[in-house]
Amino acid sequence: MAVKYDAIVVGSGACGGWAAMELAQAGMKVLMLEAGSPVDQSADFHHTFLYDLKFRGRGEPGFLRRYSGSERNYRIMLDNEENPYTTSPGTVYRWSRSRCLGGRSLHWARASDRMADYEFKAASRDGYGMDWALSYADLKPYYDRVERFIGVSGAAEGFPQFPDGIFLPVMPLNCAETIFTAACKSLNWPTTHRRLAQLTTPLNGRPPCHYCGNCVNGCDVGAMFSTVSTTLRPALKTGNLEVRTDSVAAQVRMNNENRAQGVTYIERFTRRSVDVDARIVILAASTLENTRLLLLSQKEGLANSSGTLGHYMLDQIGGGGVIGFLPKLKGGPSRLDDGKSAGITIPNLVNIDARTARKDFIRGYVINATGGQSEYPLYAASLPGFGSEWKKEVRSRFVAQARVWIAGGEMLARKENFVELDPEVKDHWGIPVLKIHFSHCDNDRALLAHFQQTAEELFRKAGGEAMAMTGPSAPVGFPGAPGSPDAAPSKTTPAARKLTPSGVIHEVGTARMSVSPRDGVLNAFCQTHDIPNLYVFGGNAFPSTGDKHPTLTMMALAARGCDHMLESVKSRTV
Amino acid sequence: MTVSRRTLLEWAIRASATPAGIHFFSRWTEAAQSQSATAHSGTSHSGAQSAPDFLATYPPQFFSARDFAALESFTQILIPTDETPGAREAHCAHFVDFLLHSMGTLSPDTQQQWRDALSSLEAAGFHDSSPEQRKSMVAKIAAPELDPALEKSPAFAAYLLIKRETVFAFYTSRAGIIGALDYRGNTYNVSFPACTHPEHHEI
Repeated sequence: MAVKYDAIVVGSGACGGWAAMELAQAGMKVLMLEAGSPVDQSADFHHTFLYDLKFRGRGEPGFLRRYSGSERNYRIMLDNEENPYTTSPGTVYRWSRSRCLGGRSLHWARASDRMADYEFKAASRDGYGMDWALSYADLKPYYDRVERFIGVSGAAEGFPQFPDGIFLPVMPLNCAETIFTAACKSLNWPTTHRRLAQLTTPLNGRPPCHYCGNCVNGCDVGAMFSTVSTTLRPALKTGNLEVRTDSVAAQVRMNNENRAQGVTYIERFTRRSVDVDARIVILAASTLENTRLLLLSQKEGLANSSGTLGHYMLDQIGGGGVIGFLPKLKGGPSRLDDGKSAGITIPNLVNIDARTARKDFIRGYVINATGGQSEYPLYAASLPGFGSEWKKEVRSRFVAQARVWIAGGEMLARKENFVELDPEVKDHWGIPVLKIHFSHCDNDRALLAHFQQTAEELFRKAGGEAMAMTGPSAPVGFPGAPGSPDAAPSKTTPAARKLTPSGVIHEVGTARMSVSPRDGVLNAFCQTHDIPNLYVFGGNAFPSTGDKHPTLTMMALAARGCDHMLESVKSRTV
Repeated sequence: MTVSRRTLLEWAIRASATPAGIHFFSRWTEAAQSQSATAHSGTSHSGAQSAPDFLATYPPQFFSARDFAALESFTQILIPTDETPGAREAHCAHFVDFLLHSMGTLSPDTQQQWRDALSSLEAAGFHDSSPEQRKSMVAKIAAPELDPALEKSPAFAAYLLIKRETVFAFYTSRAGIIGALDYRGNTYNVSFPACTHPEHHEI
């Protein structure tokens, strides 16, 4: 090749964008490869009402069976026909992905919570699994750095299980959130506003949030953090970054000195195979895609001397929750309730110390709650009756909607949850796809059941009327509808039904970090133990999920990895 | 099960390449756009737009004219026009017809369900009844929804099906979400309005 880059970054999501920015600013010549299309936030993202869309959000009949996402945001999601994956018999796992410049940073939930030492050192406390190879003190400067740059609104509270960060002014609570907060106070539970990578004051040329509530369809002004809104511009400004979109990475190529030589990618449309070389290769293509690339790059997997590559796949636990109404709000005036697309957070309440220790399960979970107007009254179709009286009742309840959901239920790491290359199925470019083996254990189910009890207690304390999640009186949504309940098949009330845990698009693990190269694929800098010039950014390094949303921690790990990389380059150890 | 590439392609071609398809699709989008352009302009925050021209003379694409008229009437009984807009202003029946027509050959079961629904209403005499008779007929058909102990007539399934889709068509329309529910989201705001109610701070 004519050009040899200092670094190749595969992927342009939250971690890839961060790495590209830091390395380009440090003077490295960086090539970023993105499998999907370019994205321009001001040209591509618009406020739309459901009535602006030909099919009112459902998409053309049959269309959304092909794309993940909704009629609005499918373009920043993924074409499932081009990018299939398979699952083992018995596995129910929805791998929600995105292929476009910015990746999932364009539509993520923006929740930016720091993990605490009780999560990093969970194995030492309860004897299950493996500790992280670093502590909160190691990661704190990087949490600081990331938060300062991306902008996180929130309030410092001093909760030990929910470490404070560097915050922009917190957003105000709406009426439902105020009622839920009062309920938490009377239960003596801690609460705070959700901490969100959503600006409340201008930052680095980005405007503050205008409270339209369209976050998951892409922010038209870049008030929410994404690669496109935040990290890409300063990275490009250095003149050191080249971005190639529509470039599907197929493997990492090695030289004969056990160093990564570069990456082979396939041009998305011409299907031409292209080799690019670099001194350092960084995989930041999302957790499972990273692992897929390592599996594709060498028989038995690249950087897999530990034999753990692909194993200990994790997600956080979803599948419960309460939806209904707060009678106090019924019949009230219209207000902007869903413009923040936010809510309150109730930090984990269990297994923090001896007083909160549970006998029936280990680890914990975080609860979120919000309510008020939404862009579609999900309950209306199941509200019995019709006519003018029925219309009035729909209106009366519209401002009184309320919901409580699980934000970060910790799932236990088990070796038998793993990904491998499917021996037969290939994607649109002829690249073998992942086969996912994934199930939940009794601890996961017990934790979810406890969350459900707690969520219902909160709802009762707030005076809420819960709706059945399923059955004849359950809300009727439509595929891809914002806020559509992800309900399990049952006809009983939430408390009585047996909950089935699901994933929440927080997949992590499969190349866990370890102190010893025998126990994991990565070290505490997300550098592979086996190959010094190969780094893996994303959720791969997580030996356990913790109870926080993972993205902020992934970014802090990436920032720490970049520091390590730059020092190593300086000292010529890479 | 996924839809094959070929099916999708066939559908896309059928939907957009027939002269009627092109006409209909572009008019529909235009109407939606012209409605949204005025959605939050000025200080007015209620009421629906008048019907887009093309809907006034809309020829049903899926239902027969007779079934379509019955469906329109049924949806207007479910969501009447009163102080706020109803199914008539939201063109709920038109949307249902458009949706079923758009399914082409993709969802024969759903289409059959709707044919059966209209047949069961026809069998119950709905089509030939007066407006007043229709109202009491719907009340009778719908009664088991409120009291499950009551016997369900053959048209009960039709009621549930039409209600579900009418509710969807209505509250995803501008007439429904803005006109009837006064939804305030999806707008540009300087700040987020905090709760100012002392009674919400106490349990």
